[in-house]
Amino acid sequence: MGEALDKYIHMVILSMPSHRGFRIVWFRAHDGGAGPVVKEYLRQVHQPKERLKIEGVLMRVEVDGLDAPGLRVEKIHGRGAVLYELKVTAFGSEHRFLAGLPGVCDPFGRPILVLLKYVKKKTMRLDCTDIETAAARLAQFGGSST
Amino acid sequence: MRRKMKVVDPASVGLPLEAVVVGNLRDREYRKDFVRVNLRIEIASVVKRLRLARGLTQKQLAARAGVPQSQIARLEGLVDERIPSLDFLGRLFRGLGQRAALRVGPAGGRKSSVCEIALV
Repeated sequence: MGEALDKYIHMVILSMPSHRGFRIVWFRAHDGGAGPVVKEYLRQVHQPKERLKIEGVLMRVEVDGLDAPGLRVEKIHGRGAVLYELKVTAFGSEHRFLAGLPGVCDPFGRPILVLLKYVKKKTMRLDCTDIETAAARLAQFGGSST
Repeated sequence: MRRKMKVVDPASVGLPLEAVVVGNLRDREYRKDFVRVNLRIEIASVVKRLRLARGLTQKQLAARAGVPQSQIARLEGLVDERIPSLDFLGRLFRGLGQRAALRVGPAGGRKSSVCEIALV
């Protein structure tokens, strides 16, 4: 996972084989950089403990898929695109990611799941503009998921 | 069933998830709890996957293991911040009919530690 991780942590996880996992990437525009989703996420989630849990759950999605512990998933249809709302509760706050499948996979055959929008829960329902933004970002990959 | 998909380099599609994790590992507090939090998530993952693989509901597993269903729901939902007790894990894995080993301790370097759960 990188030099920083190897230096401090030796963690061996002998997981059962799974074919349900995804390869997760954060959306970023073609001009490179960190991307709007990462920026928004880091701006709104300050506590290291919150980040640990959220990112830990997302890392498990890469192995377990949408059955990962601590994750709740809803399928959303918006603007002709199929999106997944990934919800993680950490320290009393609900964190939501709108994600989509652009229909490509990594060299290991795992479908790539793109985190298109981060929303810290404020209301029960998602804002339409958030869904529109996520759908527009997914459309940049040239399609929508099924 | 998964359709045949075009293979791409993930970095060409977006920023890989671990890039943010590695960035956060520069934070001392984040680094300090990284192993503990991920071990908790790993334990929950193993229990949930074994339960689903055996076609058991939480209620059925609870009856087999002799623990309240609510505790299994809390474990799988990562509601509690603590790592479950060995007694509780022992009951769960007995209910699942699966042996597992938990190994903790230093791992070479002064700052390193190892935490792992393995099915045996």
